[in-house]
Parts: sequence; structure tokens; C-alpha cells
Amino acid sequence: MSLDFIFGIIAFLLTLMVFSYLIGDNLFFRIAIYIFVGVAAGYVAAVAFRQVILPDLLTPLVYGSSTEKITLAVPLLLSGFLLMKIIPSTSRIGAPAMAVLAGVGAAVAVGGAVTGTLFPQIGATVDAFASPAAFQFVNAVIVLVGVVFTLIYFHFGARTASDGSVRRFGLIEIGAFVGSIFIAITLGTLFAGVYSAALTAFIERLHFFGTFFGLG
Amino acid sequence: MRAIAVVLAVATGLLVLIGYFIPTLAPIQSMILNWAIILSGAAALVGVFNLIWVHWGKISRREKGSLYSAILLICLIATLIFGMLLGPDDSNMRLLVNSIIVPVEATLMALLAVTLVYASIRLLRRRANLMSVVFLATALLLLIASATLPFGEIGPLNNFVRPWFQHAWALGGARGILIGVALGTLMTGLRVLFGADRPYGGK
Amino acid sequence: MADTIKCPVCGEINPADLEFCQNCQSRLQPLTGPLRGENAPISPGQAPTKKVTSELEPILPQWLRNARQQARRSAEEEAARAEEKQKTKSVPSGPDLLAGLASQSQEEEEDVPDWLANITGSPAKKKKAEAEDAQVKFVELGRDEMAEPSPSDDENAAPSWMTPQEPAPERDELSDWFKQASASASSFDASTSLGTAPEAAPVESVSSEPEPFSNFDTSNSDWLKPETAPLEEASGIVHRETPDWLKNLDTGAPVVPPQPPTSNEPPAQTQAQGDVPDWLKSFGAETPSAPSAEGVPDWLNAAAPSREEPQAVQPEAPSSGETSVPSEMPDWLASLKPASSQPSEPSGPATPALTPEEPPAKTPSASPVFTEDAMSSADVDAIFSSMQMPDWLTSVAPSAQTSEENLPPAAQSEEAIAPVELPSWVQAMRPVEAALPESSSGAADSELETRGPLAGLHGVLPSVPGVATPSSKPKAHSIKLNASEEQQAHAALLEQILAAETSPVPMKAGSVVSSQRVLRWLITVLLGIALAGATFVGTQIFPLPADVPIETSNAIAAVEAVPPDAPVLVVFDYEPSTVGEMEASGASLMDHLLLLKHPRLTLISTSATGSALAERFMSSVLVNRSYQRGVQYVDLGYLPGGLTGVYGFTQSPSLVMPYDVDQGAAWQMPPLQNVTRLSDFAAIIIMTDRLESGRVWIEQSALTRGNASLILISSAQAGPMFLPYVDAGQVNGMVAGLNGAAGAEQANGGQPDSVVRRYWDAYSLGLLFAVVMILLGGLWNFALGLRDRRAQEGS
Repeated sequence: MSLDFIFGIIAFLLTLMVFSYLIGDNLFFRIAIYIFVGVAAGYVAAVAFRQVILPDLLTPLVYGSSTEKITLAVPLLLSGFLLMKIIPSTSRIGAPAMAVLAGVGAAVAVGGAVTGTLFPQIGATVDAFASPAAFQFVNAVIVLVGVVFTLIYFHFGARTASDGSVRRFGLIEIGAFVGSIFIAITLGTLFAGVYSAALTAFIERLHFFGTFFGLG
Repeated sequence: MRAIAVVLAVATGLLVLIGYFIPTLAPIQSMILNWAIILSGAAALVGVFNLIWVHWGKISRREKGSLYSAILLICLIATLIFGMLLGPDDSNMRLLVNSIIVPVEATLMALLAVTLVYASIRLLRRRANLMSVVFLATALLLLIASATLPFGEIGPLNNFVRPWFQHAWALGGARGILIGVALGTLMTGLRVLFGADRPYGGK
Repeated sequence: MADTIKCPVCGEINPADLEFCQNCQSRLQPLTGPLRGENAPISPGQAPTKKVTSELEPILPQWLRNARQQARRSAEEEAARAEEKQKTKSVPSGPDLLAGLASQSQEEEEDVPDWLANITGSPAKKKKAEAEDAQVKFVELGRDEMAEPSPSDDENAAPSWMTPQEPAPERDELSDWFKQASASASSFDASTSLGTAPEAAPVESVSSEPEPFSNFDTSNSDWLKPETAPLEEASGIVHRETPDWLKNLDTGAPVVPPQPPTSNEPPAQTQAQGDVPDWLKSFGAETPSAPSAEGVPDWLNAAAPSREEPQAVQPEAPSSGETSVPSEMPDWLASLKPASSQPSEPSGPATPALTPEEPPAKTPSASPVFTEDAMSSADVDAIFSSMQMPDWLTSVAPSAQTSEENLPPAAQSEEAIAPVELPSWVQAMRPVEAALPESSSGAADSELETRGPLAGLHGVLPSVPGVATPSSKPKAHSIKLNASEEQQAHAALLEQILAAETSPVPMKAGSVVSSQRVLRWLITVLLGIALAGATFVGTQIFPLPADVPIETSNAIAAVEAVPPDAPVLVVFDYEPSTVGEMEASGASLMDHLLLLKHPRLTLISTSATGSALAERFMSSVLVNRSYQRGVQYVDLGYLPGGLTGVYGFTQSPSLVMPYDVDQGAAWQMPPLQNVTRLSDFAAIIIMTDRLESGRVWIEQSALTRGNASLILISSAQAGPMFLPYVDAGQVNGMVAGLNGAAGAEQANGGQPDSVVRRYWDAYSLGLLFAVVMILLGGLWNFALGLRDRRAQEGS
């Protein structure tokens, strides 16, 4: 009995166990999930160690030049701090390491958002009107209206009315209503996409069954 | 420790941000980025160790469901040991991924198909407003326009309505959402860089 | 020590060796010696020690015992959770990595089952209603308190209402008093515990009952000594501060009104205030203005007026020896007089709400609260009965009384209670208006709960165990019930609650299979049959769409524009959950690329499992192209750090990812020859199933990718969100989902054994099935919802 066949049976059984959730929450489903979480976590840890910590930190610290060693002393120290977060009493020591991650992440996110999304997307919204075709122009108007009113929808500024109720400005309210229509259309499109993805996963699992039993 | 954390966050963040515009700072920026990448790997390890810690505690205290925790720990430690010894790139480790992680995750995704149909059916009973109707109508339109029939395509639906909805109506909303996300990212990032927000526990 | 002793009741000077007063026969010597060791009373500022109160367990009613058993069953588990929670709380509050791991379930997913919530180690939320818990409503309501995890067994044994985990500052003194009293109830002997055998418990409980009062005795209570000891020597003041109603308990002597101030009070007061907290200073103060607003908590300030009432009548009170009740004396105080001097009829109209003529319907276990037994037992009982003890405590009384009857007379005489001095705040809690004896049936006379689940209810906190027990000298009681309408309503409400708690709640006879579950099963079966039929039979009757989406056409064009043998970066950023769709989506385009251009591939992933999925893709989907790792392609493996890692890679790829998965020097390998920067790649193909992942690559590579084409192979669930990038030209082309893949497959020649072709029939059937089900089911549910809403509006 080959290893592939054994793992094939395991995959088949795990698929069945997870599908059993359609009947209701049950023991088999739980066991499958816990096995999955354990294996996935163990695999992630192995990947993190073998493909990140070992080649990028430990190996250079042992075999690298003195410059490398000095440079890597900082992440080594911060990694040690980070490990302190496992123990609640020493978790505060991990704050500097988390601060480096948060600070660098924020800077990269800001730069990416500005250069990769804000300017290009705003520019594209305007540039769409350059098309001479009437249908393209109509589409450009629809897109512009959608962008503006979707952004208005997420504007939550309000004022207190005379009767004490808190209401948005009248124009904002109208714009938000239009924006909600566009958002509903977008979410409907996304919903169709999610269902398509889930359906394809269902079909793939059925194909696996078919392959396992020699069907189809 | 808090002050150190704030100083580190602001300093490293600003150095990286300035590196976008001043090429001479690129080496420093690259070094800091490398630190952050190594720290991310360490953070993944910390997360896994925390999982071990928590479930070990459950087992030692014989809490309810500790049997599941035992299963989880056995699988985790076995995978970790084999992964360390063989390397995650080993063919046996890939077999493990293909026969445990892939089937479970893919089947969970497959369950979503049933759940989504069920939720859609129930939607109008719970919330029958204009937004729900538009949402559901769009979803139905795109679903039927994505399929073909045994005798062929559904002409205008496949060739006109679906592309038009996706490239005009849905695109407007999607672009608005993307710009909104970018603006939110910008504001949140700047607040972290200026020390107003301290998600690293520096409050 | 002086040779004489002054009677605390009548003020008569007696020789120090006398046990009883020569004048009024009141006890002069305390019954018990000073408490020591574990049983020592708590002095001000001292933290209370935890006492075993598990002795109360056997006398609890069945429903409460059941509840406590259920709570105890999970006590260890909950204690561990609490410990876990405390550990988590000790961590700085920032939303850091582990804090998220530990507490991520706090604010989400009601429907997530405990076992699933626990998988990350976060403490599971309590279930709303378990089957066994639903049997008794009280268990549900009071479960949190009763099953509150506690660090020690002592606290586990004690009722939760007596051992609050984190007493609020203003409750400290009250809870201390409770604990002190409960300690005294359990401190005599192990055999005195109520938790012992039922035969022995009542007998011993008799001797333990007066103990709380002896704790308050001025000679025995350490916590009162700083105040009372000097006051005794300074004459008179102590006796004025000793509540008259309490003095009567022991001696049965007539009430002696407080004496007017004497000239030596100021020194005594000064001496007493030396090391006494403010609230105690006011205790021995002569004038009502003594309480300090700064040092006294609000609740004590609020209680001050009621304490001043007796002082207001002091100037008019006779000096001593009078047996008649002063006219200004409150009713409840008057009712404590000996039977001989007690007025034979109530002075006020009796309130009929809880009178025997109109007994509310209640279960037997609930009834003792308002029965005569509980009221007529003794002075002490009568006093504290105003606190509206719950059933399980009132049930103690008869058994204790029975045991007392079995005692020899000598033993009974020793049960006399020494005069005690209650703190002013305790006095302030006493009912001053209503007639005391009836107070056991007047729920409104007791404390009004202002916080917690009992808020709004009167007297649901039981009095201290051991206090509400009969003494040996029963008194005649007035049956007057001086309760307002509101108080009666509250009492009735309380009775209803108690009755509901003690009566079993029938289990919900919910349908075995709900209609929702049937609907879900129906969807599963129909969808499963449709998909399985198309899949296993292998039909190909649904044609692939002839029209290729424009973004797919652009992607094909971008692929065809790649120079032959050029380096191409392929990012595998999808999860195993979408592996089927992603492989189907990417198969045609990648095959097209490899077939036409034979590019050198570089694989990378920001997902930990991405590397394994990349190898799977290469070895299964592209197996026909015979690409070898290290020759035609190189796998750089896992790129950690999310967007930081991506940005670092786009800036200097060789620095961030110097090695491949085999730890070889990746940039020296043939697939990466002459590649040092991101812009050296001819194309970047991103295979992703998430917006975040794709957006990061698009954003971070915007400045550094140069002329390299950016092509997306996306899951259908993320495709619509990438369209703005495609429309803006930031992405050269995209294949989204099976529809996009079908277009790419058409461009690739439409192979009958391609993944897309094999999936397409089942895919189309599944889409049509969803449309039909949603349309029909949605309309049906819309009609049902309309009917429900109209019914609601009509009602």
C-alpha cells in the first residue's frame, strides 16, 4: 500500500467528515477541523523557521560577515522580545518589536495607497471622459457617479436637528441613497463571484471523489 | 518600554516612508524592511507557540474539549517535527498539505455554496428593502449571465448585460470602495506614524 | 481595669465580677472570649479572609443545589478561564498579536460554537442556554454569579452573592461585614458547620447563631475596639451608641432611651478619633454633624439621616428606668419591647397585600419567606427578617428551632446574646418607620438592589447565615404591615419570581427538525445531485461561452507579448480553499504562455502554503510542459511580512529572497539569469483569491515594475474588485474565475480535457440551480415576510 494511497484515503475521509457538517455540527466535523488546524499550524511554523528564521537570521549570524552579524543583532533582539509575548507576564517586552512591525507596515501602506490606488484610480475616473464614443462616455458618467456617491455614502457627518434627532445633511442624505444603490450592485456582483468560487470548490471536491472511485 | 516602542514605531516608519522619495535613504530603508520581514517570520512562530501554549493548558487542566486540543497538539507537533527535519519543501510534506490542508479547506469552501443559497432565500424575509432587492437582483442577473444553457448562450445577458454591469455599475461602486479604503489606510497609517494610534500596545 | 462595670442597658453601676446587672438582670459579661486566629474579627483596613461557607449547602433548596452543582461542575473550567482572562488582562491593552489571539472571540460570532471558538485558545463565550440549564430560569439568570470562577475552594463553597469577585469600593464594608458574619457562622467548630450531617447540624447551628452578634460586641470586636474601648471608660457614650433595639434582644429589659450628652464626651470623642477611619469616627460622634463628607462614602452619607432620627429624640427622652415606649420611638423599635409593654394592637392599619387572607399562589418552598415561623422565632430573627431572606435561608429557621428545643436548658441559657454595638451604617439599614415584626413579610422594607441582575428588587440578598435564626426568647410581634403600594407590588413581584424559580420550566418541545434545517438539506441534496450527476457522468452539453471578456482578452494579449524565454515572475497567493478554482482559472493562460513562449519562471508566495500549492500547480496542471525546478523555474518559497515583504521584494528582490526553497543561491540559477530587479521580469503574473493580496502587489509594484506586464489570475470572488485596476490600466489583463478561464480556454483552442471544460457543465448547472432556488425561495420568503410584517402591524 503506497503512501499516496494512504494519504488519498485520508483526504477522502477528511472531505467526508467536513461535508458531514451539512447534516449538522458533529464529532467528525470537529475532529477534522482540529486535525486541519494542527497540521496547518505545524506547517506554518516549519515554513517560518526553515524558510525565514534559519536562512535570513540564524545562518548569517553564524556564518555571515561581522557587518551582517551586527546588522542582524537588532532583529535577533527584537525577535527575542517578540517571543516574550508568549508569556503574559513578560508580554510587554514584545511591544518594541510590534512597534517596528506597525511602524514599517504603516509607512508601506501609506506609500502604497497613495501611489498605487489613490492617484491612479482618481486619474482613471477622470480620464474615462476622454473617450469619444458615446457609450464609453455614458459608462464614464456612471462610474463617476458611482465613485462620488459611494464615497458620500461613507460620509457619516451629521448635525442635530431642532427636534433633537441626529440627521445627515439633506444633500448628503440623497447622495448616500444613490451611493447605497451602487454599493448594492457591487456587493451583488461580489456575491455572484463568491458563489461561483464556492461552487467551483464543490465541483472540484466531487471531481476528487470521482477520481478516487474511478468515476467520471 | 512604551516610550521606546513609540519612538521605534515613528522612527522606523518615517525612515521607510522617506525612502520612497529620497533614494539616498534606500539602504537604510532596505535594512529596516529586512528587519521587519524577519520579525514577521518570528511573529508567525510566536503565534504557533501561543496556540501550543493555550491548548496545552487546556489539556493539563482537563477542560471540556481537551480531547480536541490533544488531537490538535499531536497533529501540530508531528507536522512541526517532520517539517523541521524534512523541510516544508519535501515531497512528503507536500503530500501532507495536499491530503489534509487542501481537502479540508476546499470542502469548507464548498459548504459555502449551500450556505449562500440558503442565506439568499431567507434574505427577503428578514430584510425586504430597496438595497436588498437591488443586491439580490444584481446577483441573480450575474449568476444567470455567467452560465450557459445546453442549447447555447443566453445572448444579450452573456454578451452585453453582464459586461456592462461589471464594467460600469459595479466598477463605480468598487472604485469608490477602493478609494475609500485607500483614504482610510492613509489616515490610519499617518496616525500610527505620528504616534496618535499605537496598535503595538504603547498606550 | 475598673472594679465596677456599668450596665450597658440601664446604666446601673455593678461590681466587676457580676455576670448580670443587679438592676435589670442584663448580661454584663460577654458570652464569648475574644476571637483569635482565623476567627479573629476584622479590624478596619484589614482585608477580610475567605471563609468556608460550604456548610450552607445542605440546607439549600433543591433547585438552588442543582444550580450550584451545575455551576460547580464547570467551576474548574471557569476558574481556569478566569485565570486565563486575568492573565490576558495583565497584558497591556493594546491590540497586539497575542491579545488578538487570546481575545478575538470577544466581540464576534454568536453562532460560532464553543469548540470552534476555543480552537484559537480564546475563552469561549458562555452558551446562551444549554438544555439542562433551561430547566430552571434562575439558573440561567444567575448562572454567571453562581458559577463565577474563584481561586479557592472556600469561595467555591460560598454562595456567589456572598463572595463577590471584585467588590466595588463602596461595597467593601458591606461585603466585609457579610464575610465576617459568615465567618463567625462557620468558625466555631468544624462540626458546627451546616454542611455536616443533617442530624448534627441543627444542634450545632444553635450555638453558632449568636456569633455574629458577639462579633459586634464592643469587648470582643477588634475592629470596634479603637472606638469603643475609650468610650466605655469615658462613660455613657457607648451605651448611647449601642442600639436600643439590640440591647433588648438579650435582656428583655425595657427600652432605655439614649442619655443626653455628658460633659466628658469631647475627650472621649477625641480619643476615639485618633486612629479610627472617618466612618467610624462618626459612629461615636455625639452630634449628628459628625460624619465627614469627605471621608465617608456616598452610600454612608445617604444613610446618615436615618441614623440621626433616634438622636433627634434624645433631649426629650427620659433619663432611665422608664418602661413605657416614648411617643417618638419608631414603631419597629417599639415592637421590640417585651410583651408586657407591647401594645396589644397595631398602631397603624395593616396592609393587606401579604396578609393570610390573601395568600399569593406560591410553591411550598417559596412560602416560608412570608410565614409566621420565620417571623416569630426571635428578636434577632425579627430584626433581620426585614431583609427578606430567600427561601433556602428561611428554611434554616425551623430546623434550628427544633434543635434548640432539644437542648438542655443550660445550653439554651447560654445562647443569650451579649449586647452588641452595630456600626452606624448597619443601623442606618434598619427600617425606622415600618413595624419590624411584620417586616419579614414586607419585602419593600429591605434593601433595594440597585445593581446587578437583582436591580430593582427589595431584599433579595439574604441576611447572614446564623443570624436569621431563633433565639430562646420569643417575643410577641405586631402583625402590622406598613408597606406602601409600591412596596407591595415589589413584594408580589418577588414572590412571582421566587415561585417561577422553584417551579420547573417545561422544556421547549421544539421540533426535531426545524424548517430551516429541512431547507438546508433540500438545497444540499438537490445541488449535490445536480453537480454529482454532471461530474460523474462527464457530460459536456453546456457550451463554453463564445464571448471572451475584455479583461481576459487583454490578459491573453499580454501573455502573447512576452518575449520568448523571458523571465516571468509568478506569484502564488491563493489559499488551499480555492485551489480548484485557481488551478482551473490559471491552467489555460499559463499553459498558453508556456506553450508559446517557454518563459523562465520564478515562483514566490506570500502565503505559507503557497509554495506547496505552486509545486502542485507545476506538477499537475502544467505537467505536460515538463518544467523542472532549478532548470526552467525556480521557487523562491515563502515571502513573509505581507505588504512589507512585498515592498521589500519589489525594491530589491535578490536581497530579500536570496535563496530558493532548497536553500540554494536562487539568483545564480538559470531561470534568474540577468535578473536583479523587478523590472527585469518580462511579466508578473499574480494568482490570487483575495483583494488584499492582489492590491498589495499592484500598489507596491507600481513604481518599480517598469515595463513588466502585470497580469492577474483571480478567483471569481475577488475579480469585480480588481476591475477598477484593470480599467485604470494598472493591470494589463485579468482572468477571473471559471468564466474568465473559459474565455482563455477558447483562445487556447478549447481542449476537451481541460479543467475548465470538465467543470463547465456542473458549473452552469450549479449557477442555474442557484438562480431558480433563490428566485422561487426568495419570492416565497418575501411573501412570508410580508405576511409576518402585516401581522405584526395588525397586532
